Amino acid sequence: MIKERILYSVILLLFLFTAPALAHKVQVFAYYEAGEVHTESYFNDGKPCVNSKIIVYSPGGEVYTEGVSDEEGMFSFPVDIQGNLNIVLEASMGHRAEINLEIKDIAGAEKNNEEAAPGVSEENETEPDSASVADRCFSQRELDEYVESRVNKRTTDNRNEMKKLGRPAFRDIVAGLGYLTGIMGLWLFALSAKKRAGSK
Amino acid sequence: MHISEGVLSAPVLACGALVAAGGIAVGLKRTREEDIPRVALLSSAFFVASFVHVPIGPSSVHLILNGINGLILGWAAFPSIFVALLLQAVMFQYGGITVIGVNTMMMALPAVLCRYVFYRLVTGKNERKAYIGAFLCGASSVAFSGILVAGFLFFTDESFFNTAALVLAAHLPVMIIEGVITAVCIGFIRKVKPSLLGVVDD
Repeated sequence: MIKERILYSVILLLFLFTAPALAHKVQVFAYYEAGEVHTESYFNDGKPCVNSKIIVYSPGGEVYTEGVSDEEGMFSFPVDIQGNLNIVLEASMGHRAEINLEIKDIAGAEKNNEEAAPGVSEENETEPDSASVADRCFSQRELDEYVESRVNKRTTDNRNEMKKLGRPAFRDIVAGLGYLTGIMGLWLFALSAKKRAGSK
Repeated sequence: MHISEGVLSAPVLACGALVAAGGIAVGLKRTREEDIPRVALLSSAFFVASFVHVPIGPSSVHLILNGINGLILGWAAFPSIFVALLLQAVMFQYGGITVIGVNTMMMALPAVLCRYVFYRLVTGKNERKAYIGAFLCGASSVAFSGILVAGFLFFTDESFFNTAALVLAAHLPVMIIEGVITAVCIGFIRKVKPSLLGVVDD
């Protein structure tokens, strides 16, 4: 009995102490910017889907364009229609994901570069010293550099955010184990209830 | 190795669901009351194994542990794997509810078949052969699952041999790791609690 218990707990511990890394799911994100739609595809461990097929369906349901993601899981294509694009990612080995992206106003590209990624909120990080920054005079080069660094940071932040989205939380995995234990309990309970009813 | 929703057509999904339902029925029937904690334990192991990523190769692969499920549970691997897949589909959107039959069949059927092939070797008197059998059982269940994936995807427009080669190549590290895990677990079980496997003490 003791031996059995040790065995069970060793097996369980073996799995509990592995990092809650990843499993099998793909995700595709898409956003519109200045006449182009950019898509990014990731496995839920944050690994980019390389060489994966992206098919874009127009609002009418026909294939609008298709292509293959690059080394970083990115695929971009120009758009000249408005409406709801359905973007389907077909990664290898039966992995598939899709996302809908609404293209509203092609002319107003600047206004419309919204993130389609669910949960990636466009929060405005205010620089603590933004007032003093605005008061200072910049040369054109400094300004360019500043804007570029901010944009780069935002892009990296967003990419990291997207990669994290698919990652399972440790507490969810533990919750799953809890459900399994509960199911076992219910099963045993049902059996014992049946037995009790039978013996009466 | 979960097939996503929307990839397979309805007849294929239905076939998978039928096989899975049959397997679950046989599994439940053969599960005695005292086996239930064992089924739940292996189900938990399978559930968690999917979160253990193997960072080798270009694709994204994870442990499956269906070999040891089959060795210890036999047909009860079907309900064990089904419940774990159900939770993964609901909580993490791995696979999905409509493909759950196909995914269950894909991972549980090789487990059961490999048990029939390797059970005698694993529970035999010869310890070295038992280790080898356990390793082969763990590795070949994964390989067989990969071939089943390719078989299912054959019904879409993918070619069978390309997909099979791709899946097997991606899962080669997983096969080796699972072979070792299975061998270690079986070795431990043989020493500590042989009745778990039905090995007769002598």
